[in-house]
Amino acid sequence: MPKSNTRAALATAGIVIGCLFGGLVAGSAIAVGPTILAPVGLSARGEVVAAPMPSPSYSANDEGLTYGSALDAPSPETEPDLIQAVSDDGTEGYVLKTDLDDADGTAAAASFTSPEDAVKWQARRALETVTIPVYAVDGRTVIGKFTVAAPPATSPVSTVEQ
Amino acid sequence: MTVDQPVSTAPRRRPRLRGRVAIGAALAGLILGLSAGPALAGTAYSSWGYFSVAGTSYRNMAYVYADTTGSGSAKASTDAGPTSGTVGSGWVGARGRLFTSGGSLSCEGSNTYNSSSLTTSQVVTGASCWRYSHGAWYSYGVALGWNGSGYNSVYTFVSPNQNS
Repeated sequence: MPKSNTRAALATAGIVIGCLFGGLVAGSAIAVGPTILAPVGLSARGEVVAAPMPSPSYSANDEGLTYGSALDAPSPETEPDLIQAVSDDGTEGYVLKTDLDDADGTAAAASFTSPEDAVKWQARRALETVTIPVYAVDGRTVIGKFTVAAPPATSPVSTVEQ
Repeated sequence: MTVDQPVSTAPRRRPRLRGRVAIGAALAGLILGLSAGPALAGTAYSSWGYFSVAGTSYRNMAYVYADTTGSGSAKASTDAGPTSGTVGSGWVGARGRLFTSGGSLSCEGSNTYNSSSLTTSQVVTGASCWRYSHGAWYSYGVALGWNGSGYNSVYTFVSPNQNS
């Protein structure tokens, strides 16, 4: 093989290997680790080992409302009164759990007496975004708004591996 | 002597040169790969989680899609479906929730229910939500299952973070 061709082949191989390695290091997001934290009622299968999420510990404001991150809550019942949130314009604050439950359909779901009620509710709410206030930690001072996305008119269904 | 010297040293120098070319090219490639940063767009998935409601078994999964291009964007979604048998319309619900790396809820979708029957190989995707900015994001979704007189809500596992 001519010298120039050999060098070109080596260089190409080097760049491909380097890009592949660099790209893999930079671009992958893989759930790793021997144990993951499980919300209430959820379990894992296969090689995944799950341990129960610890109970959250929230601070309380002067009004006695608990506040903190919903990321720490292992169930809807353990979310704080004021959920740490980012307003639509990027301001850090809190939304009231009761406002959020009204906006995302949680409160409505509690009133359904059959699955058909849920489908009818979704048809009514389809494409209707709802905004709720974002408060300072006092739970009274409004500092922004938070938009809850509407459900789709037709539920997207996909096929997945067993 | 002086004429032979270059001939005798050439075979030893060629492998070194090739090695240097390959190493240099590999380093250049590594730098190129890393300098591209996290892939322009990518999706991080949680593990499948399994739960049971009134004797029916379900599974759920949260995932976050993020794109680094432009001003950045991220989307949180949740899938849920039965793991045995077939469930009727409205039996399964889901919604997506997107969190910042600091634990703030960044956006949320509304409950979305299956509008037709679901078999064990099918899932419904809950309302997704988008946030248009750069950051590190987690998806922590919610799934619902009909218990005969109401819905039980069960969270997903938290997804790995994804950068936008």
